[in-house]
Amino acid sequence: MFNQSSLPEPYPDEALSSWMYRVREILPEPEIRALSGISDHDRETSPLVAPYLKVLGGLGADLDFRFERPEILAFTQAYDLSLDWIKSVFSPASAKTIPISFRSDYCLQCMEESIAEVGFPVYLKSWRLLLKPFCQKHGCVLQSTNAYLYDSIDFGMDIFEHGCANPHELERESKWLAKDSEVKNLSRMVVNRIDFLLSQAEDAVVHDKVQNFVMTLLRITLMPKLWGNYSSIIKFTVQAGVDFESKKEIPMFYQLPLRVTGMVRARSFYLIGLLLGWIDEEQAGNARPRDDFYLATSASTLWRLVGNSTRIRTILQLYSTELLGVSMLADWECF
Amino acid sequence: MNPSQAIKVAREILEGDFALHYFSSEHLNLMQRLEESILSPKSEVVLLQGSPGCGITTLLSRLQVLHPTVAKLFKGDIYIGNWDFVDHLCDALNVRRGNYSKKNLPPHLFRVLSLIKCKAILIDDLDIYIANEGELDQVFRTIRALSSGVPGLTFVLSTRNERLANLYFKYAQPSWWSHGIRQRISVEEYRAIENRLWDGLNENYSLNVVKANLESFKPSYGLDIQNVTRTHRLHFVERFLLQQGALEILSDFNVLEEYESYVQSILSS
Repeated sequence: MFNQSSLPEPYPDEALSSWMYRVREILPEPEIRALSGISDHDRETSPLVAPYLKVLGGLGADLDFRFERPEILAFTQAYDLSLDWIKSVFSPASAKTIPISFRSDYCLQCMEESIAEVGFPVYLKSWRLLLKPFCQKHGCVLQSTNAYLYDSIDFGMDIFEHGCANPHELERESKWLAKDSEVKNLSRMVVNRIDFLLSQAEDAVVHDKVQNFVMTLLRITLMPKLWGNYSSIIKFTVQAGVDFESKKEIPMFYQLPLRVTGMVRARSFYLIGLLLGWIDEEQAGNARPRDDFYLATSASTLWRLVGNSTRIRTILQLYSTELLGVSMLADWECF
Repeated sequence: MNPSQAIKVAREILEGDFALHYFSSEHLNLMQRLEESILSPKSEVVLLQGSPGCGITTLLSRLQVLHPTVAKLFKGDIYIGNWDFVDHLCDALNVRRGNYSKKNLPPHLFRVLSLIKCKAILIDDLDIYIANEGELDQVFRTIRALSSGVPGLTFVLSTRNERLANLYFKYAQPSWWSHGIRQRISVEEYRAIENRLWDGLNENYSLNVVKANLESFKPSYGLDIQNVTRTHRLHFVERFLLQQGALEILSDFNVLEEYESYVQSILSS
């Protein structure tokens, strides 16, 4: 009934869930066409609909990267596509990704460009790269939408609609970003430098170690000790409830990088830059917004806040390589 | 060309799409004006009025064919009443339908319309899709809101429903304009169409069909635009078949329908 040439071309860097949504909107399968015409009540109660909802709904399932999911297999069968082709086009880069339950970041400019080009707000797979809180195309910090939207199969459309309906949220975020722009420029430099180092890794083991070293630094910069208790931190919304935050320190240490917004991760890369000595105190002092008194501008301040932690010291030593290691950390002796 | 090939070409000429350059100078001027509105958009809302067969559908289709990225044609599937019109726009633009509990248009519809390349919405025969006359206002409220909320968005719509046309004028803004297409053309226009059609068909099909005695045909079947174009095409086909040896003599009918049946019978024989 369908063949690949009749389907819309995947947009550059498009995530599979986004493409699946577009395909179904443009060329709906007969079942979906039938389902779209019935009321919400009928949809929920009809025994005929239930099996399809199970396959089509995909709530909470990672339809971006988990290619063996039954929803994806059903899609490939319906549209006569090979799973190998799906994998070749939609596989993520070999980098750490944000789990589906915590995805929230996007670039509005990219989304608007995709609407102009293909008529849909396309969701890109690079927005789920944990160590890349900046748009790959425009260089801006990724914005973050409300956490509750994460499990939609049509995430891109949801984000876009939410943004259109809540323009004040976008304005507020743009103001914060404008205020922090110098700090974010330094963060971008750090991200690019780490990217370069990763590209220099000779084998997968070294690559993983470098990634894990950076992850550890990211976790350090997100420790509550380093947040301080000042008002400007409010902008760094953490996707977690009171229950989660009140739990012990270790789960927080490991999970926060996944739960925070792109804006928070971008700020963390600035702090990583300080820890690695890639940003000096003068640069940091010049970049710090005038009223952000508590933003650290030196590695020694950060190490002092972290305190003496054998666990962190051991982890950093474990992941040290010639490309990136404890010997390269600034003021490491303070720690 | 053998007779069977000639008959095939003749069928194509009679049944093929009506290209606009066979139309009257009024159509051509209007087409040019609408193209200006689409390509240099000024947030206009244009109402086209005219009797059935006056060429509005052809004109709108032609606009869409010439500017497929910029213009979107809605034809034959719009239902009016409550928010159906808005829903239909949303569906056509791949935008999710809104929640109308607050009686507002979906904000993302405005944003998508301002981002996409389509800057002209062409709606043909709006009048035949009315489900509930009491809710006709909704259509023009929507059109006015989109036209003022999306910079450079042009609406071109046709209607033959007087009530709907009156509402158009009730909601009209300074940048809105309307045009009534004449059904009856002048003898000069009749000749101009004939020449354009004759030359156009010869060029399109690489033919060299000449008129008898190099004179124009008399407008024996009236000057209504749709009859005129039909007549000219039949004349052309008949002379083409004569030239190709599929006919021995030219016919002489007083009634257009009889003339058309005669030509069709030759083509189906």
